[in-house]
Amino acid sequence: MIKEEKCIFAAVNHSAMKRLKIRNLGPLSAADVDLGQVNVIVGMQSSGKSCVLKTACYCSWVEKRIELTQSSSEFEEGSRFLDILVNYHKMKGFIWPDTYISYESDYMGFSYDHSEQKFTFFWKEKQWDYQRPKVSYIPSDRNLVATIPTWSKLTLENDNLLDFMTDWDIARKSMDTSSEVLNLKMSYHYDSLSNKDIVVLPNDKTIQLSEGSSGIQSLVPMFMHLHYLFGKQHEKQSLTAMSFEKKNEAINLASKLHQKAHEGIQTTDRIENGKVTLSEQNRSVVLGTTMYVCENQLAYERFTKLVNQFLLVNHNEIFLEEPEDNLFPPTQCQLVDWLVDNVSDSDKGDFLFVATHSPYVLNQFIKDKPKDFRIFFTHPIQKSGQYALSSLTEEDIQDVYYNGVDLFFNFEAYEN
Amino acid sequence: MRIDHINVIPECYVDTNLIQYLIQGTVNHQHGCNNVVGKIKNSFHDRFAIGIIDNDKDQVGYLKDCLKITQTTHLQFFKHKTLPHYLITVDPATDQFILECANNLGVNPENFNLPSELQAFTKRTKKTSSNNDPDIRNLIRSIGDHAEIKALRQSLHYLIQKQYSADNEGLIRSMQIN
Repeated sequence: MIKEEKCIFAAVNHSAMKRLKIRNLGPLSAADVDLGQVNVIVGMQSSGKSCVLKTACYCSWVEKRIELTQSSSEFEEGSRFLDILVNYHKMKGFIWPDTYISYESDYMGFSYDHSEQKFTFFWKEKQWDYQRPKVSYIPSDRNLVATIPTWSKLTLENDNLLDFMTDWDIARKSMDTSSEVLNLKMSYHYDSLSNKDIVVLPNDKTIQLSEGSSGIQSLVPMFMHLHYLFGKQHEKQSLTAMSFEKKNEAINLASKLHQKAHEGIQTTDRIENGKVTLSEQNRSVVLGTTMYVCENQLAYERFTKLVNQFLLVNHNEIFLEEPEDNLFPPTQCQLVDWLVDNVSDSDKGDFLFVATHSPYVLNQFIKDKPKDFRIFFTHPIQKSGQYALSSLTEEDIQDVYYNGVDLFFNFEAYEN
Repeated sequence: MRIDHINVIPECYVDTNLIQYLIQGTVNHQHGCNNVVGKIKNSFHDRFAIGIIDNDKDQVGYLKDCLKITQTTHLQFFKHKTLPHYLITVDPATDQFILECANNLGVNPENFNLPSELQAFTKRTKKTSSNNDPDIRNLIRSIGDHAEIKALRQSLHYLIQKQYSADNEGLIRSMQIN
């Protein structure tokens, strides 16, 4: 029997809808995706799984950019929207003359039509309810950070791998004490003196990550990065730790939030740089070197709420390629259990989207049955050489679990 | 669309093509005879299920818990001693069974763009697309009047219709050629 749904989301305030539509991108002819909180995509190699994963990740990032700048202008010029996607996710050969992508969430909607090189955008009513996520793409070639100890000296383009490396570097440097990897009786820590990644094996032997087995090299960077994300350690990021560019963006955003907080409220001078001259000192918020003074209690409450939503990371949006790489099947199952536990335990509503080729991974997700769980699969369109995407219904998922349907061998029966 | 016959569980790939043609519906196919038997045991427990597996590999352990009901030249029909689980084994394997049926009827596979020599035919049937290969489907259609193909079709229809109330005599009767 499928186990009862756990009542775990009582405190969730983030359950944002994400609707993605793709036409003619890479091998994909059509994909209409209503994402849940936990999502798994399966399908043949080169059938467009990663294409969907990357596009979904990119759209989440675009949404974040637009919310944090309160403007869509950086994507509006010519094919810029698509160019960024292509460069970041290395998808140059994936573009067709009529490639089309649209995305809609609770906060906004946007689309890009390559045949007209036109980007269209609209806000939705909940524009100001946005909660800032940490958007992370974890690529399948992530074990590069383990196999090449000098990876930080490599010259790389600004793509998803470099971003993962940067995130991994931040994550590992926070692991100055030993952290257990799953329950494999193995632990990891970062040695800041030697700048080395240290793994202690179940037999207490200490090795460097670069000397580990392929399974260790694949698992540890992914696991420790996710451990860092789930631990919400990125929440501690302050304005002082930001780059100049990001700091400026944050200050610009704060000004817009301050303005929004005062909508409908009579104002005098709101911002006093460097010193407070108004009597309402208890209604002021300091961000970096700038103090934002609010006109009254209502504006102050609105402003602090908006600052929390937009300047602090609220939840994770994780896009994970093939978590099973080089892992023993029971370890794959343990990893899925751990992922589901962490995503489900989050009171903020973390989001997870996984691409996999592993029946063990898929079946473990089904067994764990996270709330708001979706399964997608890519399948060929007869004789066209292209692929489409379908999703399983609750009944279909029941078939897969209760009746032992092997989705990897039976997907044609579930094509929409 | 969902699977029409979730409790009919053949091996991939050509076996699936054959069974789907015979019962005119989609089935719950699995990769390899151990997975067919595993699904019947673990997912269907005490529910009705039919497994169709090749007999060219080591005999699956589950057959020790089954009793043979009847057999033809290429087919053996087993039922679990206590559970409503049926296993049909194809001897030595479905690809050779189909070729031999075609030979018996004087049907040339090459007329369907398929090799007539076993090794090459087997190679073609091992392709993942052979589940739905229209050439293989057409060959199967052309041998539909072969006595063993008829027996397999009629026995499957009997079991699917009767399920829990199927009995050994009824199964044997269903296979008799009209």
